[in-house]
This record gives sequence, C-alpha cells and structure tokens, in this order.
Amino acid sequence: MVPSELLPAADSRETVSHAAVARQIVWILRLAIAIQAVGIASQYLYSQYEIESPLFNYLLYDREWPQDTAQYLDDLLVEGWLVVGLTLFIAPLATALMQRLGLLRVSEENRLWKIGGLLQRLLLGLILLVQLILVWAAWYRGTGERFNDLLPVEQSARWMIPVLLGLLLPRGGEVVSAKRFHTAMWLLRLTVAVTFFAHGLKAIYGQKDFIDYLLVAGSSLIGWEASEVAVTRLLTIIGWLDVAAAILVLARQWRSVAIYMALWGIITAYSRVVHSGMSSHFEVAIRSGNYCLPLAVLFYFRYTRSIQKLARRENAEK
Amino acid sequence: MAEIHEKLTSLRFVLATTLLLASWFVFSSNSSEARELVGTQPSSPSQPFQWRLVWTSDPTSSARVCWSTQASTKKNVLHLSSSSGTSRAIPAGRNGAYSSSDKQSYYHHVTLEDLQPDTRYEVTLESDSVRSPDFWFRTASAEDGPMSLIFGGDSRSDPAERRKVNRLIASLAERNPSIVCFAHGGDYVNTGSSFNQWTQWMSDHELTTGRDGRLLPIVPARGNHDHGVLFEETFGFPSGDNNYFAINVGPQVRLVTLNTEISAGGEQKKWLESELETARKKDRFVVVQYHRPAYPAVKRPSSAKQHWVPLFEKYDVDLVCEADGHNIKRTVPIRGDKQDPTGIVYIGEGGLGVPQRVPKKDRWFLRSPGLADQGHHVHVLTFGSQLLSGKAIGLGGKERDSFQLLVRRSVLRREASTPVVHTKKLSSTKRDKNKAGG
Repeated sequence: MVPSELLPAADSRETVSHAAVARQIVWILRLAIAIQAVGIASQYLYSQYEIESPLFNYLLYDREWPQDTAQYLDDLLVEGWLVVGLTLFIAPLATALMQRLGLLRVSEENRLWKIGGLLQRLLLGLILLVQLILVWAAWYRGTGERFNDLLPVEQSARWMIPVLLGLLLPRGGEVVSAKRFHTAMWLLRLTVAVTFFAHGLKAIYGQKDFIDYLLVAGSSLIGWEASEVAVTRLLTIIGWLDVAAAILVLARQWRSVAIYMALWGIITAYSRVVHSGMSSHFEVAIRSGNYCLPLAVLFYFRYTRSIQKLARRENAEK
Repeated sequence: MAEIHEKLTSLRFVLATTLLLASWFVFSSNSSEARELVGTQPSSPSQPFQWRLVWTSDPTSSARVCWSTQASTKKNVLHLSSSSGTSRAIPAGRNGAYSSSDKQSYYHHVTLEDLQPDTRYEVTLESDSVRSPDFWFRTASAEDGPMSLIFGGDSRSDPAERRKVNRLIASLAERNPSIVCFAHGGDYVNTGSSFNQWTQWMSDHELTTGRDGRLLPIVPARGNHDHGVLFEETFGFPSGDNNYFAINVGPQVRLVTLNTEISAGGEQKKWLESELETARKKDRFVVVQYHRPAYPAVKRPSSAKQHWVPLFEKYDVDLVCEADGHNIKRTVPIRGDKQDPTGIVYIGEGGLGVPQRVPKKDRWFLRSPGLADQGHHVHVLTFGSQLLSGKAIGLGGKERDSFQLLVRRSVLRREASTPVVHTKKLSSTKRDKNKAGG
C-alpha cells in the first residue's frame, strides 16, 4: 500500500488527467469545425452544383429581399464561416507548433494568450449564431415536409460543436475546470445521443433518401440487388440500432458503442458519395460532427475507464 | 471594471446574445396565412365550388371530377351528359372533410368511367340540390392527330401571380382547342399541411376554366411542399397512393408522371423501366414529368439523376419536364452526362406563380444552345406526326423560348414498317400499392 502522503492529491491528479483528455477532445472539435467549414463552403460556394443556404431562400421568398442582396449576404456568411472555421484550427495548431519548436514563448498568463482565448470564444459564438440561423431557416422553410420537425435535433451534432469547444477552452491561463469538463462531456454525449436518435427515427419511418442510399450501396458495393421492401426492413433494423446506441451512450460508458457511432457516422456520411458520386463529397465534410463527436466520446470513455482502473488498483493496493 | 470584463467575456453572455438574435429572427418573420379567397364565393354552404378535373388513368374513357362545399352535404351528384344525348347522374364515390385543424370544408370526388374517346361531356355538380354552373370537358382522343398539352410547376407562394398564370392557361386553352390537359409538376402550396393554402389554390385553379365553361384536365405530380393528406384529398388519390402513373394523353403520346418524394431507386424505378420499355415500343412520343430536377438550373441534382436518367436514356425518352427551381430552363440534349445530339432535353423549372430565381447559367447543360432564364411561364408542348414543338409562354403571352424535337429514329423506322391503327381502348398503368413487393 502506497502511503497517502506520497500520492499526489486526488484533486490535482484529476485536474491534470482530465485536462489532458480535454485538450485531445478540443483538437477533435477544432478539426470537426474546420472540416465542416470546408464542406459548407463547398456546398454553398465552390462545388459543381453549388446552391444557396436556407437563409438565402428565407430572405428571398419570405422577406422578399432582392436576390442580389440575399445572395451577397449568403456568400458573405459562408465565406466568413470558412475563414473562421479554418482559423480556429490552423491558428492554435500553428501556435502549438511554434511553441514546440521554441519559436514562440507565450505563457498562459500572457495578455496575448488571454486575448487569443477571448477571440476564439467570440468566433465560436459567431459560428454558433450562423448555424442556428441556418437550422432555423431550414426548419421554417421546410414546414410541412416529412421529418422537418426533427431537423434542429437531427443536426445538433453540427451546431453543438462550437458550444462544446467553447466550454472546453481554458479561461485565461487556467486549466479547464473539472466541473466544466464534465458538463461538456454530458452535453457531448447528449448531442451524440439526440443526433443518432433523430436519424434512427427517420430510418424507422423509411426516409426515402436513406432507402435510395442503401439500395445503391448494396448494389454497387456488394452486388446486392435488393428490393425496396427488403431495404426498408433493413433500414428499420438500422434505425432501432441507432436508437439503442443513443440510449446506451447516455446510460453506459461502453467504448464499443462510441466506436460503432463513429464508424456509422462516417459510413452514412460517405453513403451520399456512393449514391451521387464525388460531386457530393462535401456531404461528408458537412457531417463532420456525426463522426468526430462520437470519436470525442470514445476518448472520454477511454479516459474514464483509465480513471476507474487506477482507482481499482489503488483500492486493491490499500 | 474587471467584473464587467469577466462578464462580457463569459461564454454564457455570448450564448445569451446568440439566442436573443436567433429569437429576433424567429419572432419577426412573416407567416400570416390569412389571405383573401378569389374564385367562386359560395352563396350557400352547399354550393359546389373549387372544381377540378383530374386525369390519372386512361383519359379516353375516364376522368375524376372533384369539388368542394363549405358544409357537409348529404347528396353529392355529378350530372353528366354527352352530345349523343345520353345523360346520367353519378353520385360522388368519395366524400369527406378536408384534413384541417381550423377552417372546415368538404371534398367530393366522382370517378367517371366508360366514357367515349374524343367526346364532349357536359357536367353540372350538385350538392344538396344546389347546383354549380354548367361546365364541359373533352375526353382524350383515340385517333392519331396533332395535340398539345400545357406543362408547368410551382404555383405556390404568390397567389396574385398564380392567378395571372391561371388566366393565361385558360386563354391559351381557349385559343388552342388542341390543348388537351395541364400537367402540373408539383408544389401547389408552400405548406402541404395548410388547408388555408390548399383552399386558396383550389379557388385559384377555377381560373383555368374557360369562359365557355371548359374544364381543363390537370395531371398532377407531387412536389416536396405537397406533403400530407391534403394533396390526396385535393386530387382524389387514394390514401397512401404512391402518386406515380402513366397515361396516354394522345394515342401516340405517353405522359409518365413520377414522384420524387418517395424512393426513386426502389419499386418506382422498376415500374418506370417496365413502363418505358412498353411505351417506347408503341408510342411515338414519351414525355416524363416530375418535380425535383435531375439537371437543375438552381439546385442540386435529385435522386432522379442517379436512378431515372439512365432509364430515360436507355429507352430514348423524348422530353423530360421538371420543376422546383423557379426559373425557365431548357437543357442541351444530354446523354451519358454530356451534350449529345441524340440525347434528352430537360425543360422546366417551375413558373406557375412562385417567385422566380436567377438561374445558374454557367452550368454546362444550360449553355447555348440550351437556355436559362427566369419569369412566370408555362410550356405549351405540341405533338405532331414527326415533330414535338415546345414553347415557353410568359405572362402577357410573350414567347420566352421555343424548340423542336424530331421523333426518334427507332419510332420512324417502326412507323414506316407498321401503320398505326387505333381500334382498341388505350391503357394506363398505375403503380398498384397492393402489389407492393411483387
């Protein structure tokens, strides 16, 4: 048994280890935001079949703005989103690299560091604002369409990323507090759960696009020429699996569930490319939250498992 | 000062500001649905109004007449008489209340069968002894000859413009008796579950009736805004119908209506292949209509591109009519996803009243000799013995586009070797939901 006075205080060990995993999760979230920003820019600006956002459609059809003005604002928001999203990933990455190489010495008490933190939170707030506006506009304009009311929930893995990242960023020079970290982790799990739950419901109720994705994936990937009835049945099973995963990710900390969700998130995102070709590549990027957030959950579950193992070992040694 | 600074920089403050701004967007939106009803203002609750004639099965021998009443009426009858002197009173086979949470109104559907081809029928609607004005319609012809149809889509969102287009349709049909029907590519209303919007559409649709009482049959496709049961109640589809079907609007003109709001790659695709294979063997012209475009002027390609375009090309469809984009478009002939003189032309894209969009003219399939423009319009398609002519007619009767397509070589060869004789009743095919999975 190790004398207690030789052990680091429980608080400080907890602080250090949760800070480490928080930093890992922060990088995952930064990456998710950057990938998403690239996807959004492709969808609304650069792809072969670029289109306008729901905000544009709202301004044009519901507010009767001139098309040029609505288009200008739409393009501005998307371009801003791209710049902000990439900045939130590249700037910290560059800072970390330069620090590692000794080219930059900025302590966490430095004023520049604090300003950088403030700027990041402001940029995250802007991204969140734009995302909420787009989700609302899409929901508003889709009134009456099937599954429309699920939209804000279904897309929570997109718009919750800036919220989660904002919670996990340290304030000034402080390590993110344990309380804020665990709050963020609960929100993370909840976000992943509701996203999968909403998609699961759509699958159970036979969303037409899901049927077509499965039909094409089955045919082109494994040569399975399935009937619509068979695919609809399979989709029902998949839907229930998603619902089960949504419940389990909240009720348990099973890494296998997080792995399933991360893999399924990227597979389903990529199914759009399988169905419609490389012109739909941005669909994978836009859905970065669907696979990055479960990946972050996996990291969290690994951390909690490590803490539990350590605690069990300590108890055994006592 | 430090306290204020801390508050200003707190995430909570940022989130609260975000929510406030988002709330402003939510609560400042215009969503009023109260609008004036134009069209027949019923003088009594039982007076038939909002009449529409629908073609979804063989139009040489059948038709569906639908109308509304404001009250629940017990006796709903259609009086039908033909030029041969026969007349009959046909009770409505389907009556019910429109699915509405507020305003109450009732639908009545009469399915007419055993009609004669190319025959004028006089129609009067009666609900509880209150009669409508007298109307007439003509069944589709079984004899080969030039004929025309009107195509358009997206009549939602701006009732004032929609009424203008409806009056244009009526005037075109009056001036050109060879126009047999009006194919609608979907999106009649903005919110498919809003009875207020549907009742307004139905009243506005009365304006397509000619001054002489001619009812122009409508061939309805379903759009992405037309979700819910009100679409079925308006056009008399059975509940749960898949809303895809094909009819001969002329003895040599097959009009295939597809549904982009259900799976494109499942049973519908199998049905489509079978339908096109049959139609291509016997019909001079095969035209397809549906809502979400495969070659869009504004949006992204729908599932139609992946699942249906290969079939269109395999069976040499003559023309595809699309909607949803809110502009005027005519693509170059396309085959194998590139310009090809033997390819298929796609026209559209919805100008029956919806506010118009500027199309993306830089898309390769819209460059000259294709066309992309904007403006409320309809397409008038005329089918001759060897030519399909199309015109996009804007408000005021201005011609916005015109094109001609020659009949397919395979059809020419077939007709050269086998004279076309029509003595039998023509067929329509419809996806039978009872055969699901079969």
